[in-house]
This record gives sequence, structure tokens and C-alpha cells, in this order.
Amino acid sequence: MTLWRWGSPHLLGNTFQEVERLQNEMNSLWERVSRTPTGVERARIFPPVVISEDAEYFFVRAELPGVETKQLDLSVVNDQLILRGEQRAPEDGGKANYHRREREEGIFRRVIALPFRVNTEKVEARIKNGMLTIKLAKAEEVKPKPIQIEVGQ
Amino acid sequence: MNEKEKQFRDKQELKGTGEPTKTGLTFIPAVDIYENEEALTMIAELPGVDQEGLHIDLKDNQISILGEVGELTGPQERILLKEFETGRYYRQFSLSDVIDQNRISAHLGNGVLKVVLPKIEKAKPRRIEVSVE
Repeated sequence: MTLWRWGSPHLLGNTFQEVERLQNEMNSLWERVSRTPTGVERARIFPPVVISEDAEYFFVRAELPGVETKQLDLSVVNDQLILRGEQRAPEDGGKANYHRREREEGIFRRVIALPFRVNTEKVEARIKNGMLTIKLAKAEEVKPKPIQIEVGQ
Repeated sequence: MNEKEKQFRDKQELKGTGEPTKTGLTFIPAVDIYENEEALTMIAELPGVDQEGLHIDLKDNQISILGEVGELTGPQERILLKEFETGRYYRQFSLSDVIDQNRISAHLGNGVLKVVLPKIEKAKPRRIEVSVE
């Protein structure tokens, strides 16, 4: 963007250009908003994840209600996290009649490309209240390092 | 192999008629309800809800489930990718008269709530003998 001094003789001549720029910006904003209505990016593969980081670790979280540790298979290969598992059918004994059936069963296999290097030796995962948390230690070279600034004499 | 792939579904947000006074999002949990001779069983998926955050209320033949969910990420964390939102879960059902409201039991495990609503004696099906002259 070009900056013009207020009252500059160029200001008026540039109005059309400015309007066009504004229009382009609005269009791209609209495109972004309409694609992701709640600001959520979607890969549209089960399970949806939230990835976050702090200085030492990356965290990958997913909602997996009713999935037990033994039904889950996790692996980290290079910079890919592979999540496989199964959400099981409800235990109705096969004799019940349904009023509502909204929960779904099925297997899932998802590859998440990690945007970073991790130490594959240090990966922890746990499920608590149906929420899976995978904690991946950052590889040494991607951890933030304080840089010592020497004071010149 | 007869394996069904689990599909991606967006969480359904509750659009209430009343005006919200609480901040945050409210979602409608997925629920199964099935019935056999003894009882009506309700199973709700409430990931992230623990025992303290779960409130089940019974009033005027209405059963309501409210699950509060804490913060997903820690205070020092920065979010890089967000494919789902978290918030409380709320759902309400009306019960028929055949439910014995004094014997309702609930169990929460692994983010799944199971509520068993036993039927009162007289509502259990009985075989009716038909005599023929």
C-alpha cells in the first residue's frame, strides 16, 4: 500500500485506485469468511483435531468419546502423526428398539502432517473423559533458543 | 471385511429461543435412546466432561443434561490449527409416564453418559390371553 500525505495533490487522483483496492480486500475477506463460517479450518476427516504448542511441546487433541486406549493405534513416522482406531457400536444387546440413533460407529484412519520436527522418542498420549491428548516433544533444533547479545565496549 | 469408516461431522450448535446470558458456545450432544422391556436407556457423547461438570436435572417430566467443559488448551499454549470448538453440552427430553422417576440411574465413563430410566411395573408388556368360546 502506498502512503499519501493528507492534502497531497495525489489524493484525489488516487481515489479510484483506493476504491478498487478496498473492493479487492473486501472480496478476499468475504471469500475467507464464507469458506470457514466459524473460523475453523476443516480437513473433513474424522477425528477433527486441535493442534497447539508451547515452548517445549506440541499438543494434538481430539474428541473420541467412548474410545478406549486399546482401541487406538498411534504412530509417528518422520513428520507424520498417524491416528487409527475404532469407535464401537453401543451395547444394547441387540434386542432393543431405538427411539434415536445419532451416535455413529466405525473405524478411522487419519494422517496429520506435523508442521514441525518432533523427538519421536518422547511422545505421550492419554485419553481422559473421551478427550485424547497427544504430547509431542519438539526436536532440539526447533525449540526456541535465547540468543545472548553481547554488549560492545 | 465389513468395516464402516467413521465420518466427519460438524458439532451441532444449540440455537436456543431464549436469549443467552452465559458466554461461550453450547452444543447438542449426539444421543442414542433405546428401549427394551425393562427400561429406556439414553446414551450421550460428552467428550471433555467430568463428573463435577455434569448436571442432570429432572423436573416436570423433563430430563435435562448439562455438561460443562473446561479450557481445552493450557494458558501457555498457542493454537496452530483448530478443527473443532469446545463448549458446554445441553439437551433436554420429556419423559413419558411409564418411567419410574425414583429409580433413574446414571453413569459417566470415557466421555460417554449412560442414563437408565426403568419402567414402572404396570407399563411392562404383558401377554394377554384371549379365550375362545
